[in-house]
Amino acid sequence: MEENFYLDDFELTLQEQANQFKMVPNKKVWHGIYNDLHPGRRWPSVMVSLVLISSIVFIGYINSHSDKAPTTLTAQATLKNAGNSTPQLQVKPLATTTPSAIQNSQTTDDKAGKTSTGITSRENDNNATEEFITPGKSFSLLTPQQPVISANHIESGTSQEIVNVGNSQEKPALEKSNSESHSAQNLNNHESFASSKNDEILVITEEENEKVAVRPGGSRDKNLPALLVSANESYPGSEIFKTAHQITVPAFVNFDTEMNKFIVIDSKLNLDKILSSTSEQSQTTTAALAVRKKNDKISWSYYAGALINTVSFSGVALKENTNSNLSALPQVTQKDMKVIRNAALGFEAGLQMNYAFTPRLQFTTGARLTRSGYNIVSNLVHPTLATLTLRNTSTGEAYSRNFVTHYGDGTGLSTVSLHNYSYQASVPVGLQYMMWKNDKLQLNLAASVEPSMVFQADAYLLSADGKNYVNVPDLLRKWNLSSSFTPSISFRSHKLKWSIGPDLRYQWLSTYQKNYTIKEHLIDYGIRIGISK
Amino acid sequence: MTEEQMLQGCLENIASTQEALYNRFSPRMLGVCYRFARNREDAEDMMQEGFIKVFSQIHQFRGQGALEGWIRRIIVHTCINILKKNKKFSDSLDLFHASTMHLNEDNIPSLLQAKQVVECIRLLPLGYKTVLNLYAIEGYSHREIASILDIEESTSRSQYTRAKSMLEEILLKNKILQQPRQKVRMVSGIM
Repeated sequence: MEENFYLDDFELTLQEQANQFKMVPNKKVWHGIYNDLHPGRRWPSVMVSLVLISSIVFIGYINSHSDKAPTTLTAQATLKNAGNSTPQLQVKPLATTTPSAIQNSQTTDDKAGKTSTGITSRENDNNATEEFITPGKSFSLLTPQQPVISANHIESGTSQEIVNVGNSQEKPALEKSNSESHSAQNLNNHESFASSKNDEILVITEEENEKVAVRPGGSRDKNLPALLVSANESYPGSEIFKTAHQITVPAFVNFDTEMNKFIVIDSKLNLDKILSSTSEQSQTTTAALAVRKKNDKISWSYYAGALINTVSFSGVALKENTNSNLSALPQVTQKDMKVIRNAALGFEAGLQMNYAFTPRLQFTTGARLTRSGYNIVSNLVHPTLATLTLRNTSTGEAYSRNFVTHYGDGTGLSTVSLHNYSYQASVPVGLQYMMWKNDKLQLNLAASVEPSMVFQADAYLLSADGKNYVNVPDLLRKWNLSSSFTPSISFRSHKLKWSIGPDLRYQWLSTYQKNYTIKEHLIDYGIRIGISK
Repeated sequence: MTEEQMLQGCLENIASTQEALYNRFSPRMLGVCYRFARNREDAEDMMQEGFIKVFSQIHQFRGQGALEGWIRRIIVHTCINILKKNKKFSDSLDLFHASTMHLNEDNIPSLLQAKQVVECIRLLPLGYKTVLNLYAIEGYSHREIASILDIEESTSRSQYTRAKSMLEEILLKNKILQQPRQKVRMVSGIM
């Protein structure tokens, strides 16, 4: 066939030449067509990411709330002489529908100034573990909504609505009682307890030798299911009670059906009745004593943040070995191959579990999803044959892979932006140390190591001659290892604990497999915001 | 995969067969769009829109003629529609445009011949280029071109004449085109 064509067959040859002309389209053209034809499957990676993040958040929410389900304890309280001079209140659950729980709180010994738990466990004669609440101790009580209840002081002969509700940082609500004077008068020195809005509010009044707790606004109607206080002078201990969604009745009280009222229990330990309500609804009064926090060493938080992604390169590129002696390693006479790139915006989201070894040091683990990448400045060129030189990891010899590409090295006209990115799911394992703390703020330092799995990624690599980019996602590693460093400041606001601080993450292993000798390490830095209960 | 299989899969909206059909015909169709467009990005946009129409109208293909020809017609019409959105084809406008146009022919000699020819076509003013593409390459008649471009048939003829002479000049200048062969005439008589 003649190279040129002639004027007399101009149109025919023009048609032939034009029909021979072909161009390789960009991948994004097909993506655009696909997304238009199948809109439901658009951006599957984004949907997967959202599902993963939602699952992590949901799991964190469930775990952070699992310990706080309101429980009421149906129990029979018995005052026992446990062998020491101070009689102790034994609480034995009577119902198994709800978990028996006894508050495991810190108490304050006024004399010694020490803190100790007010709960002791002993084995009885049957080798069963029984728990005792030591009367005369101060306790922090828990409600379903509030960690601790505190109250104003109630003066004798008055009814006063209790409105203060404290938190775990406040002093225990109950003062230590004087074992020698447990008269009604002295009970005035006891603080009573109030509940949050959703629970009943108790008012303690004094009447003769009785103390009757009534509902607010109602008066001292003994027929109402109510809390009550023992006023027996020999009563050694303090009342321990909490409000719950049901009526709460403390120990040391019997309900006299004949008298139709609550009466004080004497110190002879005749606590053997379950107290019942006198209300028409016949509500069953349960002796809800306390709720134990199952494990206060473990806490959960979930976090998210925006990241700026960049990259560092190391290693040397390989040229095709022109030396006939292939036994030698490929020469490393490399030209300075530069990747013209820009940082990109990524994100992270995750769930973290903290286990407190000590009040300052915590072990952390969890799950994390990260998207990182960077942009490459390239330019469009005519379809060009480009070569990528790789190294056989077993023999060490260089070999080539050829590609047809239309992306230049970024120095020409018609610039385009290529995006190298990866989605990684990782399991961070590390430590968090509390550097400093006051009433409002807390400064933490955290560091972790993260093995991660790359579940979606794309990569454009510079060819051996440095003039073109080729798309080779199969050279990406599936597994990688990163580490992160996160100093943060924590504070409480609106029932939540917030944690804000910078986050720095470095990828230790190269993004690419070993047969590609250029090593790429992703570097992410940004701001992380975390919340927990 | 045969054309019948691709057609069946596309009718069932199966993504893999759609992609197979796209991969088979997209290189040539992009070349078609490239002749109409200002640049590669515009050509890809035209082709993307064209293939979306192809897949959404695949049920209208009756099997009369080659599938490629049917796809090509849709692609060409899509290119024209896009161009019409951006510019009106009027002879006065084109003439003005042609007279002031500077042709950049510096890179043409270094390209492969097919690409040289296409690049030369792309150098033409928009109106000339469009008419030449439709008449000389795509095989439309001047009546059809007039209908497509909303111009007079006579305008289409004149546009094509001017386009052809301009293109010949470019091709000759770049030595892609040679002068017509001299015809040898047999003369009767004594030799």
